[in-house]
Amino acid sequence: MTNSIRLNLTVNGEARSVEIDPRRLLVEVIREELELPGTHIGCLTGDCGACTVERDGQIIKSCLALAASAEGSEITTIEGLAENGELSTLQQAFWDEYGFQCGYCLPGMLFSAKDLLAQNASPSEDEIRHAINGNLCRCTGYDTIVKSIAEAAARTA
Amino acid sequence: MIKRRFAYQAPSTLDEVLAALAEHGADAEVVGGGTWVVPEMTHGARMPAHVVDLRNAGLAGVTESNGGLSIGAMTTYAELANDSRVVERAGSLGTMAAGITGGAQVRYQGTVGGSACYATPSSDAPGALVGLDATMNLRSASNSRAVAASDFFKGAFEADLADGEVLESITLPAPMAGARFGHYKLKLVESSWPIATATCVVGVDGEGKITAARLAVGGVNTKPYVVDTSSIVGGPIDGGAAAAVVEAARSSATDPYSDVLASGEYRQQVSGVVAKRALLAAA
Amino acid sequence: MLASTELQEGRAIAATEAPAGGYVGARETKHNGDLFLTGRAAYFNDIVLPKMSHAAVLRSPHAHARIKSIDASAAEASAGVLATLTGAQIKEHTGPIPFFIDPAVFGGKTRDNFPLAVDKVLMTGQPVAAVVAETAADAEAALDLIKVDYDVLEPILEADDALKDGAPIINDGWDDNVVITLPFVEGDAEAALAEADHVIEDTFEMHRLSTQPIEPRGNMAVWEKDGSLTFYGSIQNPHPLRLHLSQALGVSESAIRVIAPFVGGGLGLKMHGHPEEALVCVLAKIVGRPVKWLEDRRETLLIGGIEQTHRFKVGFNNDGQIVAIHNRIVANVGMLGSAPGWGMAFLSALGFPSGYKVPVTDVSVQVVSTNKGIWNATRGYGKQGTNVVIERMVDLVARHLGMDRIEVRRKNMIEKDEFPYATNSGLNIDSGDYHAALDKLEELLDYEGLKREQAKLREEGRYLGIGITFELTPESADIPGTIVGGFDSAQVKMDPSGNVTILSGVTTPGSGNDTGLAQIVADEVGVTIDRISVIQGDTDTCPYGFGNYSGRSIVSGGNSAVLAARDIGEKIRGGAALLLEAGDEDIELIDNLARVAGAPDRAIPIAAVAETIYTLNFAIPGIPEPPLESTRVYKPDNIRHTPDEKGRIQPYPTYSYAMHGVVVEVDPETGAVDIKRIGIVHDCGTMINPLFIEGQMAGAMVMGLGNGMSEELKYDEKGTPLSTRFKAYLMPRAGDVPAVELVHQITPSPFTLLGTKGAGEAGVGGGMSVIANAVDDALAPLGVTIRELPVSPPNVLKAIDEAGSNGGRG
Ligand SMILES: Cc1cc2nc3c(=O)[nH]c(=O)nc-3n(C[C@@H](O)[C@@H](O)[C@H](O)COP(=O)(O)OP(=O)(O)OC[C@H]3O[C@@H](n4cnc5c(N)ncnc54)[C@H](O)[C@@H]3O)c2cc1C
Ligand code: FES
Ligand code: FES
Repeated sequence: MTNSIRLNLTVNGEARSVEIDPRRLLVEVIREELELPGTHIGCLTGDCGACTVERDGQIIKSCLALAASAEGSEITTIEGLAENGELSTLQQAFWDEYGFQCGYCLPGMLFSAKDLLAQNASPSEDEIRHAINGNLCRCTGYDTIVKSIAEAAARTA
Repeated sequence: MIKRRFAYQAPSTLDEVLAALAEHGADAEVVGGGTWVVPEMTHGARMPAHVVDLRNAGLAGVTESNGGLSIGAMTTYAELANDSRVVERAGSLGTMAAGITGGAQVRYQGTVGGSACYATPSSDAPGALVGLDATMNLRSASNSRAVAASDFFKGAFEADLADGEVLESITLPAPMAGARFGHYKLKLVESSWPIATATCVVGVDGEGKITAARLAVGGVNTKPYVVDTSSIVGGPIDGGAAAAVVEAARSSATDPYSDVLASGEYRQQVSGVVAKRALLAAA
Repeated sequence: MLASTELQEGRAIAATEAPAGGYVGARETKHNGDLFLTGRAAYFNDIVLPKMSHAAVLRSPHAHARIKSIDASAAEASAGVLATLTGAQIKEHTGPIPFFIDPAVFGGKTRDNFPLAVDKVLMTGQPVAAVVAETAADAEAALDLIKVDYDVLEPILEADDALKDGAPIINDGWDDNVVITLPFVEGDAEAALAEADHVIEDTFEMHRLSTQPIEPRGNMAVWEKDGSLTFYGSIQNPHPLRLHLSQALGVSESAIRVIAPFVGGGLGLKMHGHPEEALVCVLAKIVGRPVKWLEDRRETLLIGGIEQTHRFKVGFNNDGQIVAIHNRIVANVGMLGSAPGWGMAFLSALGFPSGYKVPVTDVSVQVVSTNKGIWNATRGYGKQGTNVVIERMVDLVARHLGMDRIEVRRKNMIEKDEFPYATNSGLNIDSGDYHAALDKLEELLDYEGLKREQAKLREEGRYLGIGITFELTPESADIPGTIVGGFDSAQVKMDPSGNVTILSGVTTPGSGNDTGLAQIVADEVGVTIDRISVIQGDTDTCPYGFGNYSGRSIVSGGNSAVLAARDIGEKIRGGAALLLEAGDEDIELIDNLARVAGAPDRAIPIAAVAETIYTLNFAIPGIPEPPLESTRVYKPDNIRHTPDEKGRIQPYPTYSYAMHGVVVEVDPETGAVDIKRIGIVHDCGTMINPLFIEGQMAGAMVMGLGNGMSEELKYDEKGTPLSTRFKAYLMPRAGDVPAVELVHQITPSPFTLLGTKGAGEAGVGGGMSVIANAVDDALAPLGVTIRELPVSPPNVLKAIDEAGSNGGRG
């Protein structure tokens, strides 16, 4: 009953298969087994959002999911946001507008922003604030994050 | 990593789920969206030996049924909020789902069934389901039964759900003629659990008179309660009706729930306010 | 294994030309932002060592108890377990954890804090035993098997109870529960109050807060084959920690290397003195492998701060002049830990009367130990205690006299030509123009317009509130006899290819001082910022420094980098002058070139000069000596440690300040507070990078608003913490606040090289005070006076009820 199980995933566009203990959380497998530590752990209760990744096109908090439940899914992490070494428009906007200080909340903020912009190409300030309500940041006071997302929207328009 | 070792399965039919639960009894834990149960396992608050994941068992989705709706237990908040039939026939449920905190992430992950089965007073779904007069459809390996939502919630963290039983779906009756929906949620700040919620369905005739009304308050008592709205039937949705529900909602707040965020006294105090605001939102 | 240089090194991609006017003052973006944006910045939890094992800590479920016995044998035999350790064994391995700031230095009481409780526990969550295992899960599972037999004692949770005659004394060997009482007296307050036209007597309660950076703490230790110790941690002060580990463990400082990788927010929490630091070292020694301990959020939430009650009298005249303040502060520091938290209570008293010219003050703070959790520093370091209460006093005076609160502030604030200004508690405020800042705030908010809008809404039964507060932020402290140091050091090195490395004694918990250092050095040596790397947080490679706290990084770290960079610049100029056949003084260094001023075609790449200095040093007589390296220290002026005739010292070089204005609407039926606008005028002297200053201020303000509105560490009557996750400890989210409208004002400090003042803490106290005043103002028509924080909906509703109104709830 303590046997490990095999988990098959597509991670940042690449097929991956790892042997895992079923007790592993998705965030732990991403960080440790898949060696993608850019996804962060802040609380393990679903509150801070630092562990946010994309699963099959939807953003999720990867500390709330057993890794086993991700079998067969497609995962994108912060390491997979840049294309061919080029930062995405969203990443670049976060850099230019100082959208992070310590950077710990950054992976989650990027994914919440990405999810918003996929559904709403020109969000209002209120809509942006609402979209990142699931992500805590203790450094920025959120202002520059909001500006970064608005800037990314403007650059894509 | 979760400290207690367990065996994991994600059966592809409900029957297999039920068989697994029947076999392992109280040693088994059902995982829906996982947003409650996974962190509880992470922190050792629950230590099942068997984990049965519902994700492949086909319990998600909204279908029409007898003019009302049937909602699979595994339907997520995001699916509810974005379903036009929900907005039309059970608008308050859509508003409730869109208002779940924790970000889009939790709305994509959390399920209405998981919330109902957990039955914490500080949650949104129980009050909303009672307000809509929902029926909870339960299945076990040996039995199936339907329970009214107002009976299903028995107290704080207590649902009428036996070991080995699974919530399969939730049915909502066809809305009353001229139905309008109102939902109001009070939380302390964005981070907070809901403190008090109210859900209201009113039938309104061509002259703006209330023909029928149902209003439930959640979060205040240890379980959601239905507010006596008989006195507002026949009149318009106005200040007088609002004052009447304030009184009625407060007088039924007799078993208030207390937690770290708000005392029972505070919940009692605001019970009338949330009821009033839900009613006015339906206007 | 990651080499330390990889941990905090980063390089910018863009920028081949310096901004017009230089880097200093420019809105330069983070020089290594790409590392973070692509998930490559390594934090503590990302460090993986070969054969790494994991520790878990068993914590007391009781707030106050004697440990009768501990049996860890079942845990020892549990799956994957490598070792267990209990309090009974801890003294064999380590001495007590040295205090970051020992109360005994000031004549107070002290105690021996061991990493594991030896015989008595003083707080729920105090470590009593530890397990090391192959995985963290195995270690945690084994904790469940440790049996501890406690003799449970009655907990004392409230400071007033701890002060009662005959109260049980919680620390063995103490004669009461008071750590120290610190008085700050100027003049005869009783007499001055008796003479004042009016006296208001009131109280204010500040609740228990916690810092909660999003990255929790973590420590890892490994004893190398040569017997030396390498310590990795999410920490703020590597060098001082090295000293304290050396003292506790009895290991030479030179045999310890402390490495701080990128830190996901420090905010005071990661200043050391926590039990788990020495603990991982001891455990690593026992198992002979690297031992890692990572904090769970429930553990982070055990650590508090600020909780204090003020009982005050303020005397003032009919014209609004405040003539005397009498204030007795009682601070509940919980269990007295070795981390620097308790010292915040000191600051709460020291700061009176802030930037107001109150001739007579009699303020004292009693620091009381109870069975609540330990304090650690929380951004603002106690200054929020002063700020909230003095700003409440000013508003009380204004309301009592029917004067506008802005007028009362104008009347009492230090005038711009009175700086440097010596305060009653002995502080020497460097510079400023408070009245101009107030004018700017009035304009920013359209204060008169707001008052009209407020009057109109009140007629409609709506409760708009305007909060106005001033905030003084003494920064960059040096406390004698402690490891709170006011100076810092930097080494600047240029290699033969013309690239520059800055090694700094200060650390960056995300504040961006690394980029600031790069900007400063880029200007001084004339290279573009992409050629600069910054290394921080490694005691083996960086020069001695105190790390990060008290808004000191740019004041001490930045200015020391200026001095070191100037040394390098001088050598490059000397070399270039020789090669270009010009005078040293004619050479300017810019955009990677050394060129003759006024003759742009006579130029040579700085890299070529550097290479020449390294490779042709014998060949070219008179060329400056290699290496191009300099290590310098910067000691700011204005610090005075020789006590004056009243025994007072002056520990702060700089005093930044801000005026805050917040507009709220309060829902009188639910008590909910909606923040509509935040306006700030801020002065921290010369700005190296306005973008970062704005980021610091917005972050601090929102943290302060959260501190004041919704965050609270609560306990039940047994002393069990109730705020155990972020759904109970309610930090602000984006939707809770509007954008911050910030205006800069610049009065450089005369006491620092570049004129910078500390930045980073201002805003926390301001957020707390301004939300208190705004809610108070909103509910004035209902007769409400705000006497406690947080102004959470339940507390606001209670205040409305106590004022005899029911807010229209029917
Ligand atoms: C950050 C955050 C914010 C949140 N905000 C809100 C909020 O604003 N309002 C609110 O109401 N809630 C909130 N929640 C709580 C959220 O977890 C629930 O609302 C969610 O709906 C639970 O569903 P789930 O499917 O994830 O449950 P799970 O965790 O999978 O299950 C919960 C419980 O129900 C059982 N269970 C699940 N499905 C079934 C079934 N079909 N049959 C039988 N038993 C079942 C499980 O065994 C478990 O005991 C929040 C949670 C987080 C992490
Ligand atoms: S770690 Fe997953 S939400 Fe905080
Ligand atoms: S930048 Fe530090 S938590 Fe957001």
